Order: sequence, then structure tokens, then C-alpha cells
Amino acid sequence: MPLELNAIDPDWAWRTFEPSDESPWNDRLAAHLLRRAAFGGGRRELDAVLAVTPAEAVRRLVYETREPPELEQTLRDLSIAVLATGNPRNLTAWWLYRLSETPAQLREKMTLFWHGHFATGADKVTDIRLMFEQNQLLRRHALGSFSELVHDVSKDPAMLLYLDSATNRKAHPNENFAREVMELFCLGEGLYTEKDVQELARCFTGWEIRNEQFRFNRFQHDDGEKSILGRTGPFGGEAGIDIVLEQESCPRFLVAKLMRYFLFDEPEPPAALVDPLARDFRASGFQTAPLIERMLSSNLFFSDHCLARKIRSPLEFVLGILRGLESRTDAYALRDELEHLGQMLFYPPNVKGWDGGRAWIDSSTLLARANLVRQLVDQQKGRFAEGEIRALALGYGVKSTSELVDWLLGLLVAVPIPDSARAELIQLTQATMNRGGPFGEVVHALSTLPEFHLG
Amino acid sequence: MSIGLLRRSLFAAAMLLSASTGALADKGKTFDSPARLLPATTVFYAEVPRPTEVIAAIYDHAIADRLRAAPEYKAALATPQAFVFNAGLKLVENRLGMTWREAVAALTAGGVAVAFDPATQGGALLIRARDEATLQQLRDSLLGIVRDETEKRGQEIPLKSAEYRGIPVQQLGDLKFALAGPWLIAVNKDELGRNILDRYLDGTPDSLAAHPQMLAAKEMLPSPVSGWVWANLQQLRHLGGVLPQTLQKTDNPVAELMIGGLLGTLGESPFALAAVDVNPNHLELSFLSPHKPAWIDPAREYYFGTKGTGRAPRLLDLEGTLLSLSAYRDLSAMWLRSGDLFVDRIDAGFAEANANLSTLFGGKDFGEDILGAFAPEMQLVVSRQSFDGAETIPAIRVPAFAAVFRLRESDSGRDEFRRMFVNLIGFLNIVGAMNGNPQMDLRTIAHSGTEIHTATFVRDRRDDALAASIHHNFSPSIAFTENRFVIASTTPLARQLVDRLASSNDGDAPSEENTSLKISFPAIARIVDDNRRQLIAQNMLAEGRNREDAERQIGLLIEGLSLLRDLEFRITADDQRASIRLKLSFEESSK
Repeated sequence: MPLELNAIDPDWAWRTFEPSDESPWNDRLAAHLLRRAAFGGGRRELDAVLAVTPAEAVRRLVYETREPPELEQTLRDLSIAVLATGNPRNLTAWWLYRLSETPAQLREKMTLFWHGHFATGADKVTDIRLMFEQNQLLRRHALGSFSELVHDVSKDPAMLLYLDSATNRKAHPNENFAREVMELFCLGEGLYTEKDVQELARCFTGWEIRNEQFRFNRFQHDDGEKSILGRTGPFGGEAGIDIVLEQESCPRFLVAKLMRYFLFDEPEPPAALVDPLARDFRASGFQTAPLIERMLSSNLFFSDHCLARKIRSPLEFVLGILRGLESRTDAYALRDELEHLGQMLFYPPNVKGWDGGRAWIDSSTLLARANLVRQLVDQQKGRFAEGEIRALALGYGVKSTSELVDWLLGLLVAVPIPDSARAELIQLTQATMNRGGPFGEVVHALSTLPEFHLG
Repeated sequence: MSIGLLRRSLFAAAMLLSASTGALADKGKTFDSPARLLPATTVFYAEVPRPTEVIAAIYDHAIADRLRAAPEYKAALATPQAFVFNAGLKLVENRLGMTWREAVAALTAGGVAVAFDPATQGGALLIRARDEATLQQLRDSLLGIVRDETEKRGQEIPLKSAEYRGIPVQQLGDLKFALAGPWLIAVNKDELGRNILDRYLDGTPDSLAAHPQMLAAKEMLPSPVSGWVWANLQQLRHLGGVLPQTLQKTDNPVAELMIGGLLGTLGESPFALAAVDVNPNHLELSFLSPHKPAWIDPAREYYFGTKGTGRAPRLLDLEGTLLSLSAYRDLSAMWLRSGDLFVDRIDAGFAEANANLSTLFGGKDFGEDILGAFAPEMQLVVSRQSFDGAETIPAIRVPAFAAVFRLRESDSGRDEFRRMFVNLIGFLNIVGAMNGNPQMDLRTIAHSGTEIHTATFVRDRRDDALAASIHHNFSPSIAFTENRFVIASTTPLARQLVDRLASSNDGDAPSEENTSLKISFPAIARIVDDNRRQLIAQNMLAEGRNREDAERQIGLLIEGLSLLRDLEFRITADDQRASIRLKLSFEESSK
């Protein structure tokens, strides 16, 4: 179906979705919500979402983000263990475990969004502790104020090291960070001049890293007058950021990017849809939680304009399988596989983060994805051991081979697959059952379907 | 084991026993050792005199009981393959009228041996049963099972029959079998089979048992012994290509340092012997061979001393020691003769290391001046750190380690080594600063009448509540006591060593060994326990387990370690023989 977003009435689009006979609150919509607002979910999570209204389900995802104390302790222990190794690559394994296990899924999804937005690479920073502290900062602000987040990120040692601003001196202002604040963090391309970048860079002079902590060196700060985006004054760094945040294009830039992250990859969201949310976003003081709540509970989100209109990132792809089948795996091996697939956490490809969308898919990554699923289902670690998938399905009352296939499709695939493909899967499942498993074969076959890569 | 494998094993066992018995027991002589049946040209011989005792020692050991109680073992038994195997085994036991252990005990009561004779290119298996009647009964039962199985599939047993001097012989493929009295004899060459049966019937005196090398080997054999292997190296060398004439240059410096000397003299030794002793208290492996100081290559005098009389100092045994090693090694001689000992690539590495280390040690030649300052006796010790009262406790706790060397000249080296230590810490501080690592403070501590020069890592902001850096496992230290030089990874271990060396003269009295190593499993268990949280976390990440399962895995590891007491490794060499002994002792509670 062609997307005609320009023709959509914004009032209808952002109104809260109410299930109806034509559009019932069912497995498909609940799984859609869990795929976008979380990293997928198992049957239990689907049932929990279906037990309440869509709006209530979204509210819980946005606001009920507290982790159980036992999990908090476990995650703390894991972080200590990983930090002790001193290797930032191990931090990726820690985050993968967290992404898979935490019930605060939306907060993690937003932390991942900010990680791509304020892209910082451990390959350059090299210090595991600084990367960890930045990740915690992003998590703290994940669903909070964007304004506070930008201010804190601007003083984050990992970010300043990554953008070469660790020693920003008045005689030689470093423009990297100032440029990214406008181009990548707040405004977007073409909405500022080169002069604005130079002047904003002067605001950040004297911002340094000493002993791995932010320090303001007043002797190296340029306290002269600066002209930024039409405002003139002896601005410091904080004031400079506030001037950028005041720009009309700032909330639009963020809302459009969040729409592409949560709703659809293409096309570019039209202004008519962006503007109402942008207005409210600014009015709320850049509070992210209400903005996300509104997006995810909207008619637009549950419409065909959004259903299966995103390509799953490698992370969404693999966590969707693991969480859907209530499985665990070797987080270190998974990290390495995600690296091959182009989404190594803490190692974004460049300062722009991951492109996403169609960039995730090409002939080699499709093959690599299928191979990854093969490895997951073949390995003896975690819960993908032989026969366990069937045992899991049996626990949910699945009796026949066709029920097993439909159960897997409901959990793992965003759109109905062709009847012929379904029939082949049933045949494969029957053959697998006849020889006593392993049922990972079926999941692997499922993962080779084009539909499987849509989120 | 699958049912297919069980079926194949049964078939082979039945074939072994299917050779005709004949009333031959009265014709044969009484032989107490299988070696008396083998020709003197045999070059390889292995014997297990009492297999039943070996099986009992392993199968009835408390460690085996613990393994059988483990959930993983029970889960393995619950698999369809295990179920089929056990059902098949039960069927066989029913047909035999005895358990598999009783059957093995009856079949092998007089021992089992295998041998290779190059003169005939034949291999032989000799099994002596409890008596002829038992052997026949087992043969009949197993053959019955195999016959039933093959008939079920509409096949016949592919067995050919013949006779040699009244002894019926049967053939399956290339294998020939004969039952001679209580003996079950299996060979792959007719000539060897005839040779063995001739000995059985005639009692020919020139058997392997009477071979001078075998007699010498028997003299050398430790007692008690559960099984042993003998190889005629002299003969094997003549065969060409089977054994190298002498040890080639090696590409493994650690292996050279540990056993290079022994391998070097093995090239001259007429035979080699390996023995194993299994009992509820320990498992001991021994490797022995004749040895003469004249066989020592000059390049490997670093290993034995010039007259082959080098002896290691006694092991250092401190509280919490998990590994202690003492050895006679002239490190300087080994370093300087690296060109004779190592392949070109490794030798080039030594040359490069020498140049780099010489720079670090103020222009002194590392091989000649630094290592040359040490007498050829070294002691290493690895020990658990308690961190009692420590201000900073690292997240990963690494054991402390130290080396003790005797100085050739007790006074001259001290200032030199102290200066080098200061230089080294300064160098590490500069490199550390470049890499964002913490810095070290240098101090000198007076202790037990001597000085300990030590460097301690400075606590920084990274050592927060989350986890102190791994650096805090280390406080490099050096000390001198009498003519000993101590270099330790931590100050507490340096203190312990200074006290230990000062309080006893044990360190001055050489041991009987050339090399001695002892590993303590309770100490390893405590170190694992110290790092339990770290290991559980890593297990969760690497194995995809939840916390409960990961905790159970690490608990099992610690429990497993608690069943073992220690592992000893000893190398001795005198003017008669050289030996390597490896002894694994079990804890009292595990027996």
C-alpha cells in the first residue's frame, strides 16, 4: 500500500487509538507495540499488554520503568565484572544482557536512540569507565528532559574526548563539538551558518577534561561577545546551548527523528504531522516521555502507515527472537555477531550514528542474519538447546504443528506471510517433529523469510 | 555410547572369545606375565596386571559418586541414547548372568597386555581370564547374543575357522583370535600369532620377559603399579623415522625450560618406561628412562649442571600458596645458548629481547650481566592474597607471585638491582600515564633487619564503590636477605618470603630433585571463591545463564576443586636414571 502521509489528518493521526471491530486490539497490534516500544516480547508479555487498553499498555511502558531490586543488583554485579576487565568491548555484552532482561524496555530503547543520536565510539574514547558513565547518563535522561540531556552530554567526558573538545582553548576554539550540537544534536543540516559554528565554538572554550572529569578552565575561556543564530552577548557554553535549543527547528528536528525511530523508516515525516507534536514538545520543556507516549498510543502508530513499515535493526532482529522465545545466549558471541551485522553497541560507525532503515539490509547482511539465527538455534548455550522451543510452545497450550507455526509467526513476524510459505513451514515442522527435533530448524527457516526482517 | 556402538563392541568381544577353546589348557605352560608369550623382538609393550582394581579405584571413588550425583550426569542418563544403551547393557548382563563389572573381572583377572613386534609388523592383544571355564562361558554367552542379533537381520557372522598345532584359530577380517587355556590372544599377523602360540605350547625361553632391557625396566618399575608401558627406544631408532635421533631445536621456550633437558638425553636412552598407579588416595604417573651424565649435550648443561648434579632448592611453602616451583636452571646459560636450543625465529626473539631489556637495565647485558648474577637455582611461588585490612580491594583478585634467586655474589648485585627497580617503576609510570593508568609511589620499608623496596599504586577516582582497578592487585617489591634476591608482585608476599628465608635454613639445603612443582587445590578453590561474584557474572554473560544457574555452576567448580588436595610434579636425574613423576592426591573426604 503506498504511503500517503501528506493526506493524513494530523488530528486523527495523533488522537489516542481506540480499538474497534475494524481494528481490534489483538496479537498483531500488541506484538507491533512490543516490537517498536521494546525489543519484542514473549507470549507472557503479549498477554500482559492485551490485558489492558492500548493507551494503558503504552502508559505502563513509558512510566513504569522500575527494575526489580534483584535485577538491579544483578546488573550492578555484571557491570562491576565487566568494568574490571577494562575492555570496552565487554561493555557491549553487558548492555546486550540488560537489553534482553530488563522489563524497562522502552527506557532501554530510548537509551539506544540517544546512543545513536549522541554517537560516541569506544574505539576513540578507549576508556571503559567513561563509556559506561555516558551510557548511564543517557539512561538517566532517556525519557526525561531533552534540554537537560543536551546540557549534560555537552559536559560528558566521553563525548568531549570523542569530538576532540577535551582541550578547547580560546586561542584555538575546536569547532567539532559546536558543529555537531547544531547539525546532529539539535537542529539538522542547513539551519545555521559557518559563522554560527565558529561563534558557538568560542562559547565552549575552557571546557576541558581533567582526571577524566569535566572542568571549566576560566583562563582558557573566551568571554568576549559572540553572535549566534541572531543573538549577541558574552555567552558561555550553557547559554550557547540554550540559544540552539530555542530555535524553532529544534523540536521539529527531534520529533521527526523520533517518528522515524518509532513509526516508519520512510518517507520523511511531513511537517503537518510533525508540527503538532513539536509544539507540545517545546511547551512541555522538551519532556520526552509525554511525546513518546503520544506517538505510541496514536491512531497513526497502530495504522497500516506504521505496521511493518520499519526494517529491523540487527539488534531488534536478534533480541526479538531471544525475547520472543524466552531465550538467553552467550552475550560475548552475540556481540561479535552484531559487529559483523554492523550494529556494535558502543562502537557507532561515525559521529552520525547508525543510518538505519534500508541501510541495515543488503545481500551479505541478509545471509549473515540467517547464519546468526542458525548459530543461535544450534548452540547448546542458553535455552536454545534441542527440543526446548517445542517445550516452550507446549507450555502455552500449543498442540499441533500448524499451531506451533502460527504461534511462532504471531510472536516473531510483523505481517502475515503467504499461504504457500506457511504451508512449507508446517511441512518442515512436521518433518522435524517426526525425527524428534531440533525445532530450531523451524526458527531458522522462519528467519529466512523477507517478512521476518520487517519490524 | 549409542546402541550401535554397544552392538559393535559386543560383536568384537564375542569374536575375541569365539576362538575355539579346545582342551588345550593342559598343553600350555603356566605363564605369570604376558611378556613371556611375546618374542624378544617386541619394541612396544603395555600391561595392566589387575584391570579390576583399576576399574574399582576409578568407578568406586567418591569423586565418581559425586559426578554421578551431579544434575548434568543425571540429565545425560535421561537422554534417549543413554536409555537405549542402558537397556542394551542390561540385556547383555542378563544373558551373561553377571554384571558388566563381574564379567570384566572374570575376563581380565590375570591382566591385559598389548604389544607391537616390528619383526612381524604385528600387534597383539593378550588377556588372561580367571580360568578357562569362565572364558568359555563368557565366549558362549556373547556369541549367542551376537548370533541372535545377526540372525534377526538375516545375516551370518563373517567368521573363518582354522587350526594351528591343535589350537583352533578364528579369523574376522585381518584379526585372528585364539583361546589358549585362560589366555585370549588376538593378533593382526599370522606370524606373530604362531610365534605366541609356539611360546605358549613350548615355553621358548627367548621371550620378551627375558630381554635384558625388559629386565632392567622391571627393576626400574615403581611399586605398586596399576599399568605400565615400555618402549625399546634403541630398536625404534634403528627402524628409522620412528624416533628422531636427538631432540631437535625447539620453538617452545617454556617446554624447553621445564623438560628440555630430559628430552635431550632421551635421544641416547635405550628404553623408556611409563607407569600409572591409581588408588583411592592418588593418581600417579611416572615416566622413567636410563640416564647418564655423559649423555647431556653441552647446550643443556644449564638444565643439569656441568656434571649432571644440579639439584633444586626446596619448595617454598607459605600460607595460602597455590603453586610452588623450585628448579635447578642456569637461566643465563640458557639465554646465552639460545642459538643452540631454539629454532631461528625464537632465537631472534631472544636477541631482540636482550637488546630491549639491556636498554631497560641501564645498558647491562640482560643474559650475561643480569641473569648471570643469579646462581642456577630458582624458586617461584604463587599465593592467595587476603586483602585483610586493605584500603582498596580490586574487583578481580589475582594471586600474588614471587621469585627467589640466589646471588652469585651477595653484595655486588644489590645496588644494581635496586637502581634497576627504581628505573623500571619510573618507566612503568611514564607508560602508565600515557595510557591513562594509575601511578605508583616508591617506598622503602624496613622489615626483619632488611629493606624492602616497594611500589604501590595510588588510589584514584576510578577506584570507586563500583570496582577498584585490577592494578591494586600489585605492589611490586624487591628485597635482599643474605645472598637471596626476592622479587614479588606484592609487598605482603615479599615480607612473607623475607621472614620465611630468615627463619629457616631449609632454603639452603638442596632437595633430591632437579625440578619440583606443587599445586594446592584448596588454595585454588579459595581464589575461585574470592572471585565468585566476578565468575558468576562472567558465566551469565558467556554462557547465557540466569543468576541461579550461574551460581550453581561456580559452586560446582569450587566443590570439584575441594575434592582434590594437590598435584606434585617432580623431575629427578642421577647417574642411573631420570624420571618425571606426576602425582594427583585426593582429599580425605573424597576417598
